[in-house]
Order: sequence, then C-alpha cells, then structure tokens
Amino acid sequence: MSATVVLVPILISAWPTLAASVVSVAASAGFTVVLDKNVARKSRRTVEIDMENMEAVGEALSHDDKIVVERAGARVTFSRDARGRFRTCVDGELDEDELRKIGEDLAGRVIQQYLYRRLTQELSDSGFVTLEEDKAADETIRLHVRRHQD
Amino acid sequence: MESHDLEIEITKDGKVRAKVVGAKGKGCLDYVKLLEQIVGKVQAQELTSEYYEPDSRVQIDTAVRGKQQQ
Repeated sequence: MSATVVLVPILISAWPTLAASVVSVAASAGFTVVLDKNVARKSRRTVEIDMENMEAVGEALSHDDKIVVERAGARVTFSRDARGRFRTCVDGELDEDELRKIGEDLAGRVIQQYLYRRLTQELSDSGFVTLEEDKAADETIRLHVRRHQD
Repeated sequence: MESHDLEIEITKDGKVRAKVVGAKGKGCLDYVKLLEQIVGKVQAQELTSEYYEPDSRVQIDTAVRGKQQQ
C-alpha cells in the first residue's frame, strides 16, 4: 500500500443526475414517489437535513426540481433552492428524532449511490477495470479496481 | 508492466475511504488527486513505505472535474 485517504464528497451535479439517484435509492428503501407534490399536510413536524457541499446545477428552476417520496408516515422532499443548493426535508407525525434519522439515512444513501455511479464511470474512463465489488453487512460498498501502467 | 490498484469503500453516509496499492513514490499521489477530483476533498491521508520507494510512472487523464456537471 502506498497511501490511504479519507475523502468527504463535494457534489456538483446536474439536477437530473441527482434526481435519478434519489428515485433509485428511494425505491430500494421502500419509498414510493408522491405524484402530487404540492399537497399540504396538517399537523406534521418538519425537519431539514443539513446537506453540506451539495449543489444541484441546471439552467433554471422548474416544477420538476423537487421529488417527494413517502413511507409509513414520513414524507421526504428532495429539492434544490434558488441558489442551487440541494435540500432534504422530512415531514410526518413521527417525533423529530425519528424524522431526522429517516432523512439522514435516505440522504446518505443518495450520496452513496451517486458516488458509486460516478467513481465506477470515471475510473473506467481512466483505464481501471473492476476486479471485485460487494456490499458489506453495514451497507458499505466496496470496490476494487486495477489499471496496468507501462 | 506494473499493476496499480484502488481499494475503495463508500459508506452509507457517503464518506469514501480509499487505498492506493502498487504505485510507488509520488506516483501514488496522482491517484489521490484523481480520487479528489471525482469525490471531493481529502479529509485525512496516510502515506506508507511504498511512497518512499522510487516513483512509478503514472499517466492519468485528469480532466474529470469538467465532466462533473454532465
């Protein structure tokens, strides 16, 4: 081994790319996409999840810049604000800690999925071949790639 | 011909830990730079004995950042 690094993600992505990761991860976690995104709901708590270093870029805001998914009393809204920041809000009748846990878990998985796609694509473009990949019990994705150098 | 390996872990909260294996000398830092361009910023880095051996020759097209918004 010649170096070990720990990296924290800085994601600057087109909204459609992030949206694809959101839909994919939400479906695999048992959430369904809410089609009528603007229906207000009464008597519900709302928690905003801190999403540092994430920006969703695009030419202009549109009605599609929001995805709402729902599971067992918790509704998670992924959106980008006017400044392009990627936002995650959770609302529901559960207590605040439970809502935060649901939101952080789902947002983390979205980032994980996004990074997996990006790493495999970019490393492949840089000449790496995937030797092995798996998912550990704690849901960490492990990826082993190799490239030959003359 | 040398083999250079990357062993990468992506945790479920979106952190990335990577080991560069087989690239000797400062050549391994080219891979660290590549990972930085793909993922984000380096939070911690540890160099091991191979880093202090004569350099591996590494050529990487590092035009990754420009493709990020696609």
